[in-house]
Amino acid sequence: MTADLLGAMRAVFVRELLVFWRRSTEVMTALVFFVIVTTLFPLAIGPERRELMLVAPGVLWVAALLATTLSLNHLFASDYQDGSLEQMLMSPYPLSAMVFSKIAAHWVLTGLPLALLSPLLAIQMALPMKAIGTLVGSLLLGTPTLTLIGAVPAALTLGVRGGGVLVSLLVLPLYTPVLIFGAEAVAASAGQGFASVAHLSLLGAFLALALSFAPWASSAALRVSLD
Amino acid sequence: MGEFSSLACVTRLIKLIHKYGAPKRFYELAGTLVPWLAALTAVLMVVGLYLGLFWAPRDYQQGNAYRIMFVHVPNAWMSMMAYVAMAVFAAAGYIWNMRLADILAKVTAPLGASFTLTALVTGSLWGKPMWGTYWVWDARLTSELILFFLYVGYMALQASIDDARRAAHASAILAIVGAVNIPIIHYSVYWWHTLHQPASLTLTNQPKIYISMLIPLILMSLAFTLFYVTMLCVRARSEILWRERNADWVRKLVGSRT
Amino acid sequence: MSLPAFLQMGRFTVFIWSAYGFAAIVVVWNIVQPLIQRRKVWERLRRNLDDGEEEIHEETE
Repeated sequence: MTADLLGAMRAVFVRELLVFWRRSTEVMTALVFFVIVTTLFPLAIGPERRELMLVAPGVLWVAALLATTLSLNHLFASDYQDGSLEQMLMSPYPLSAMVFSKIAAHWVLTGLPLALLSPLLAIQMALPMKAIGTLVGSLLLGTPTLTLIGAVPAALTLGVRGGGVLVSLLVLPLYTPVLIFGAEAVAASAGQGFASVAHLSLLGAFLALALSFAPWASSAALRVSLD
Repeated sequence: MGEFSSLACVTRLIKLIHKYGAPKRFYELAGTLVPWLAALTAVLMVVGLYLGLFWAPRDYQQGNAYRIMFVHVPNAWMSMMAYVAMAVFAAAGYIWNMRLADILAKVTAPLGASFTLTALVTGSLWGKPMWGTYWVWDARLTSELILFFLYVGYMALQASIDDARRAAHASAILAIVGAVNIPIIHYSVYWWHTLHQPASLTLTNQPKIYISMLIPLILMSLAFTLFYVTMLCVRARSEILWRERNADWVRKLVGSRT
Repeated sequence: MSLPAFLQMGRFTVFIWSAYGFAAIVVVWNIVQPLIQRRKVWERLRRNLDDGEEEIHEETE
């Protein structure tokens, strides 16, 4: 049974990757958004490196957070429209496991490239070299939490009018702890060289909490939306 | 043996909830309670205001500005209590499919949001004389602001779903997720605040609380709590009538009062 | 204490009274709005009763 379940989860995961891959423009949108938003800040603030360095951790993290929020709309929407979510609901495996696979695939295609791309933008934002490792680490720990939490409002707003904007309204207040510790971790290692281990381990704790809670909550949300 | 008796207890409790949890029974019960609740609220508020504005002495540091506390603290307290109440009602409605709990959760949201807004505005009006500016990213004010966003999100979700049952269940999940998150948000914001302003002033720690200040504060807090309960009943009654508009008892009630 | 002396709360008069004023406005709004709502619901229910039994208007509140 467990082997079956793992097999099914892997099948969903691979299917998601393929489906997302075929519609790669949607995947790219979030990444391009991330790049453009961070580029806007120097234009608004000015090219002064000292000032940019000061705001860099916050800007990079807010941009990453917004890009993740933007991508949430693609998490369930197409499967909702073509009915494959309902099939998933009727499958013999627990819905939360299937949802977990979907979220994982979604993160691999949005959060992971975002974290890997961030060093380039960090250089653009004049972030010191010593902080870049922390930036990537904090994004690697933080973005999966964001996707996991965001899956709940994304599931709740399926087929609801004004869904896209509504998702961001619902999810952004819930993102504040991750934002605080993520940006703080980067700022700490960019500034006086405070150890950012504490921040990163808290981000890890958030991730563990989200992992144990979000798949259940979002599968419950899907059940309500598909009712 | 013990298991049996506790099981019996739970069944009895559920029976009791079902008896008074029927919208019709609640409608009648709330109807008789509202005038009494309203009167008690008014008395408490008048006495609390009198004691707070006349009787309590000036604070030697803040002068009279501390008197804003008597509206700020009760509203801040109720903003949090209302969220807890909303999440509990929502969870009960979701788990046991209780229509009354759905209604109570829904009508709590605008009340809670208005408490939060009042706490924010009075807090910043208190902040101006104390800090010299209307807005400081104080831990208390910041988490109050995020709480306000959570209320707004809940109401937006309720408003955007037409089907009453789906709206109730969807927003219930959101309320529960929010309730799990609130302590985390709260402590994150506190930590963030102490990191950036290690030795700043906080509002309520500033004046030393004397008994003459504590009494009006408690009275006002009680008054706002009762105000919430009263308006909860009034709002829930309208909502019940509308949702049960096809039920016999509502038709009879409307027919008898035309 | 006389009324003008009471209304004059020292240096912070404006802040104190605007805080209390705002709280009062919100409290009054919280009382008035549900009462208006209740009247609307009653009117609609009466209209529905007059319009015949089955026809219920699906209006949003």
